[in-house]
Amino acid sequence: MKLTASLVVLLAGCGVELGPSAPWRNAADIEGALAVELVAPPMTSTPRVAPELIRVVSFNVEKGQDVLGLANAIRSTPGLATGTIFLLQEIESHPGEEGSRASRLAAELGMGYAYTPERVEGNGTHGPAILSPWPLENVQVMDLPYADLAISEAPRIALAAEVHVGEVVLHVIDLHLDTRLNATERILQMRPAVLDAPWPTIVGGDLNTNPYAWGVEGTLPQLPTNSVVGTDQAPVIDDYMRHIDYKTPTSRLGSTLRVAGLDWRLDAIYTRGVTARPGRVERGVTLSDHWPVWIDVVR
Amino acid sequence: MRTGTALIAAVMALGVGATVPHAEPITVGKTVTKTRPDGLRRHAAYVELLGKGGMYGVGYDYALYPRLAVGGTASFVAVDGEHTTSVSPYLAFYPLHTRRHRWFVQGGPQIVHLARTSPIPEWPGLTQTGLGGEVSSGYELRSRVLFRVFAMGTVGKGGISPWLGLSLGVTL
Repeated sequence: MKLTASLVVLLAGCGVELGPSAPWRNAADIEGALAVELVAPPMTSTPRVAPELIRVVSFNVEKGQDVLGLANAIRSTPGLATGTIFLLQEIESHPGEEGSRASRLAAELGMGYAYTPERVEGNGTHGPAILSPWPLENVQVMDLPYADLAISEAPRIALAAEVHVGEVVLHVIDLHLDTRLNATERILQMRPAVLDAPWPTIVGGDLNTNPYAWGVEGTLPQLPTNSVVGTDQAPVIDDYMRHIDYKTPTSRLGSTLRVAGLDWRLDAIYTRGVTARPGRVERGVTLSDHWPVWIDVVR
Repeated sequence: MRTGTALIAAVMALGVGATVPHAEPITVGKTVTKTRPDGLRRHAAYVELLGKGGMYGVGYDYALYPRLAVGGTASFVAVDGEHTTSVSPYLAFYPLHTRRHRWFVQGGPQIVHLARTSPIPEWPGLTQTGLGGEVSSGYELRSRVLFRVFAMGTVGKGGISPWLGLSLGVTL
């Protein structure tokens, strides 16, 4: 009986502790190794006339080591070639290279960019970036609630910017959430960045909405529960976003990652205060473990 | 001396490695263990690590015959505001067995209710209920103590999943 009681206490208490939320910080106020790079688009590349459809792409580039390959994949994929707002995750910068990978990719595509390291990785940095031929202003960074995971814990941030598409100002937020959180904790981690965001808003990124319920501090996926009841987190996050007035244009586009023959919808784009049309997941782009996903926003 | 011998016999009978005479019930004070003529202990109650409940559970089964038993496992797990309740009734078949060492195959439906409670005002949370099936097979040691180690598979609307389990309990 003592054994049973001990097991119940031990296992039932093995959730993930989330740290407090933090306010948005202006990019210019961040100094040191995690300072934000913000570069305006070349004057010649900003379109003179704003398009009716603004294509928004979210893409976890898995370090983005092959910058030229990424640029070529974007240019040669019709769904991506007309992208005008790119929300990238897991792009890196290393001192031995000719500038950050975000800067080189932006230069290849003729865009401006904001890159903010969320952590030091090896001799470089690792984090999200926003690329656009339209000017980025009011760039801000938020430290998301820290998840105290038993394995491979890391700080997570949100990167926000105002994208000035002609006379329209879109508030965009680029997110990369923790991997082995339960759906409720995932909502709590992203909530500070998305709940009170100014309208019109586009939220996108790698939300890591894996199909499992997790136990023992994010180390044990509950496979039987997943089989019987279906614990996919992506519809849960969609449901939360609908409750706070976001549209979910990528909810029916299918998986954005395949691992060991399993298809997972880890990445998403949400909109609030604009009309959006679902695009597609570009599964022909194989430079990353994720596939890029895009939507069109009607100006 | 006779009292001491009886006491030793009683302790041995209660012990893990105790063997039960085939046809003779064992008398311990006024308690008579309800063994079948073949020595089978009909009732088993156990706790399970991993297994049908996912993380842990409690279960009971009743041996109808030496090769056939019915039972069930139940579990309630609460992690990060996600409350998972599962009930797994099963039929157990023993293709091979000696009196203590047995190979078992269990199968049956599994009902899981998942309640994602909301800690925030703008979202009410979500509940889901699913019906699936599970099959498990493994080794059982059945004496006074019950020990099982097994592999299992679960199938439902979320697909098919492999899993492992370990049970520890008592028999009567």
